[in-house]
Amino acid sequence: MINNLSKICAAILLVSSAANANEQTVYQFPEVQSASVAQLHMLEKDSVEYWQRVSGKELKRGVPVFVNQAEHFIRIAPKARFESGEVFKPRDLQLDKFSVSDANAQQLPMHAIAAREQMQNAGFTDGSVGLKLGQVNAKAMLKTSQALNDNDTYLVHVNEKGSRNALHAKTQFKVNDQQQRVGMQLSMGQKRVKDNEVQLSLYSPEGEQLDVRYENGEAVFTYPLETLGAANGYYELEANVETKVNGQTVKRSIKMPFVNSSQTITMDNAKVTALGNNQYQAWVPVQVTDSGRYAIRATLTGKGDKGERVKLATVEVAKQIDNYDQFMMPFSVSKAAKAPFELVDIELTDQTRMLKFAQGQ
Amino acid sequence: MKIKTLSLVPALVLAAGMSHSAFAAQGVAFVHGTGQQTDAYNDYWTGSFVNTVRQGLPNTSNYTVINCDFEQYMWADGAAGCLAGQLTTFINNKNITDLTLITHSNGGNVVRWILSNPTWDSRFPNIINKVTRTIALAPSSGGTPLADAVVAGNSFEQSLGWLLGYGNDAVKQQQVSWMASYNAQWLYGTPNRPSLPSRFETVVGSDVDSAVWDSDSYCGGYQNQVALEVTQNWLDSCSDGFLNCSSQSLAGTVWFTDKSRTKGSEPLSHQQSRRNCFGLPDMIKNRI
Repeated sequence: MINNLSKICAAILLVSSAANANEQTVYQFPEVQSASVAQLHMLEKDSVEYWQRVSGKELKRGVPVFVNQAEHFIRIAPKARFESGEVFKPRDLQLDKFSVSDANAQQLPMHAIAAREQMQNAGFTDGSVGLKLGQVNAKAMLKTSQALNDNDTYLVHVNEKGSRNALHAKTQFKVNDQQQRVGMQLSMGQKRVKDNEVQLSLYSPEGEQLDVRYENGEAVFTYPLETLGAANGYYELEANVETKVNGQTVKRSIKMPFVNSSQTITMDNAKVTALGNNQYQAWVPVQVTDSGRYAIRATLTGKGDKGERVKLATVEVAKQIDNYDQFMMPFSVSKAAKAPFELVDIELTDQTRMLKFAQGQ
Repeated sequence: MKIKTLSLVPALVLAAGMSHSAFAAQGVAFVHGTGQQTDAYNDYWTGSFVNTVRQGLPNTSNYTVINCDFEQYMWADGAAGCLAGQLTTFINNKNITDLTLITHSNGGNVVRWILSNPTWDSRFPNIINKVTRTIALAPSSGGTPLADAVVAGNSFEQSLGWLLGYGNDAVKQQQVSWMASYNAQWLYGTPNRPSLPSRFETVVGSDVDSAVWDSDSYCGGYQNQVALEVTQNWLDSCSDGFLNCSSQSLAGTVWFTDKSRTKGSEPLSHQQSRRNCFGLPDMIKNRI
């Protein structure tokens, strides 16, 4: 019943807070929450695919496709082109115009798998078509007899499902603002990918391509990153790798997201007051570097009968903060405990930019 | 901030002490997946599905079908904000005290955003306090490699705000590594993360029956065999044609995997898990 009561109290607090957008939103969790697990520092991923942008002219002349196993799929998609302030969308592709040949221009068998409508049914709504080589040949040339514009752009996307030659990437997920490098380890099997085998691209959350180079296991940016947080999506590093495995060329592409982070909120010591009747208030002074909506989540603790620290309740509070301010965290608890009362498992969140900070980080 | 709670306590104690059933008003909300819906009742779920499920309510009129823009990121105002607005209106208009959410696909992620980020929006706490259960049909909790494939090589198009129709923010969000980051920091209910505040039960689609001679293949619209041949290049052997089973079962608890309970032990493809196929809505009706 006390639990129900605290829920109802919390709901009333919310009705109160909703009346003014600048006031706090308060939520008391039905149960004490465990400490926030460690922040996400690294991301790992494997790729058995590659993609490559080619021009209409190249596609008409013949583009090498690197396929090393029978199980594979080749997707070709028209891509937009930006020129003189205008966006050009290329002509749709005709599957029956594609053919495959070897290095001596001898025709190789090819299976036309999916025309535009069928690719659309599979979720590829960009005008893609799909095909497969009838004979695995690492030197196959893919070409079309369709009258494409020379300057139009197309994507050749090759997937070798289950391939042993998977590119493995391990990258830093959270980058501190002004840090102009990100750890990015690339390997294939036991072999570490060399710097000169990597072509690296960097894209902002807004899709803008930025200068970057790959240097000894790190992506190094020419300029500091501008967008803070993940509210508009992530920065992405795209690595295109071409290497030799047992004498055969293997190409792989991989994209790794990361967030550009800055400690936009810091807190001072909290002060906890017991109001009686199992009600408590914690006042937490904070300072922010950028105005926005911020939140704090914390668990109230007190001393048990044997002097042990007891977790009493977890509350989250959010409000708009422009500079210096303080959160008032109301706790309604069902367990009896003694002073001193303290907050633990504190997590601060910048909701405007989507950044999380465990206290002490 | 002025908080006037103490004077209300006696009344609240009285209210809380009264029988729960005296107040309980049970409701159901149907939450669609990726896409911008204006008539999800007809275009996404179909009346046959909705009207079967709502028969499980004490008051069959206590239901709502959500129509939002889930092409946006799950936290966006047009996504979670829109969902919060429609749920709040439904809760208030019908005095709902006990709300079951039925989600499909990415709708499960938008709901998990609300349940995991209680102060993101001042409307969220009241919704969280009313939601007693989510039945998540084929939720994309772990994302899908198909989203990665669709987005591959699209960085330039992203800068055009997806105007060319090559994808949208919800597709970007459902890339496997992106969902891994959200699950690790922003969403509850996955392993080694805090639990969601209410039950989140998933229905997992494990296979696709697409034989042209099998009439069951046609339930919910024929699943194109060629399309499947394409998507299987990115998916595990256990999938519903769009999502791997591992993604669907990543958050919450698995209520059942299709063949274990469906009529004729038929699998539920990603399209079929939101349609009146193989007894699915009847099972949900009996669950709520």
